[in-house]
Amino acid sequence: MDISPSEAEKTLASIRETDDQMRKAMNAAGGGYQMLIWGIIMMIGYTLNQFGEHLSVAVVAGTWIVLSVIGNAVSVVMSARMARKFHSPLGARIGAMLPIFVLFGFVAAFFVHPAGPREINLLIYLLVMLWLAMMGLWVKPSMLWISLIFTGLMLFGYVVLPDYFFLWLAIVGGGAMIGSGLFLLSGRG
Amino acid sequence: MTMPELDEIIHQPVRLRLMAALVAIKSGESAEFTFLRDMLKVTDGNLGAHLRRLEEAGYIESTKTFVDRKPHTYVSATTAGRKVFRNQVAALEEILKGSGGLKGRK
Repeated sequence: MDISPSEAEKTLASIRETDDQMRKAMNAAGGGYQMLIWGIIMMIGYTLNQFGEHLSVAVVAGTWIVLSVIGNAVSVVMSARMARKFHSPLGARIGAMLPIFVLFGFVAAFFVHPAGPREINLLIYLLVMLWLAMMGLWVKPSMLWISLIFTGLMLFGYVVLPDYFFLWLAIVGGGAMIGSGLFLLSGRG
Repeated sequence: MTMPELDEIIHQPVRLRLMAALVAIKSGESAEFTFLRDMLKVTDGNLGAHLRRLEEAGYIESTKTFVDRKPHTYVSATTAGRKVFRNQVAALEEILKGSGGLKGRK
């Protein structure tokens, strides 16, 4: 079968376009929107933690509960959409991993007694990053690098800026999460 | 100069894009029929016919399953299909390179 170079060029362009569309769809379904949403939630929630000294504990805790419900609802809907579009033997295991990490977080917080709110939030953050690192090893290598960079940034903030750790979590943690979400949605992740 | 060998089955535009989509996902993973239909902008019947042709050639395999009590068809590229697709891309690049069209490309 003979084809002209211009036909070959057009065909290769259509292959690249399809590959790009597919990667964007996979990244959107597989974490891009979740990262974006959780990044925004972190920004709002931790800003409130940093500057909400005059607010009652009920207001701060109530805001976090509402934000967490929204974040979890979006995550569940996105995971269901992902499962409808793509089928992966790893899908169910990855879905089960997050609640297991949350359970270990509660167990650690209950028995190890972290020194205060900063330590509790650092512990939660480290567990989420551990989950992301596992995702990176199993599914998408870029997630491993994102996890390692976030972890380094959070430890830096915890050690160097203890009085502004919640603000650090809001801007750097939330911002990096939003940036990573946008990176994945661009199809480059 | 001899023209690189092209596979006629996947050279058809819809089938080639279909293979490109399926090769973009990892081996062992599969994509759902309606998702592929919407992405490729084809009808159910059209996509079904192309899938059958590729399945007969051994380039893809499909699995029917139930999600939320509704039937869904998931499609994945076989090892043979991935190999044929890679060879097709290499052949197309060879044709383009032969004409000088790949100079300076990534």
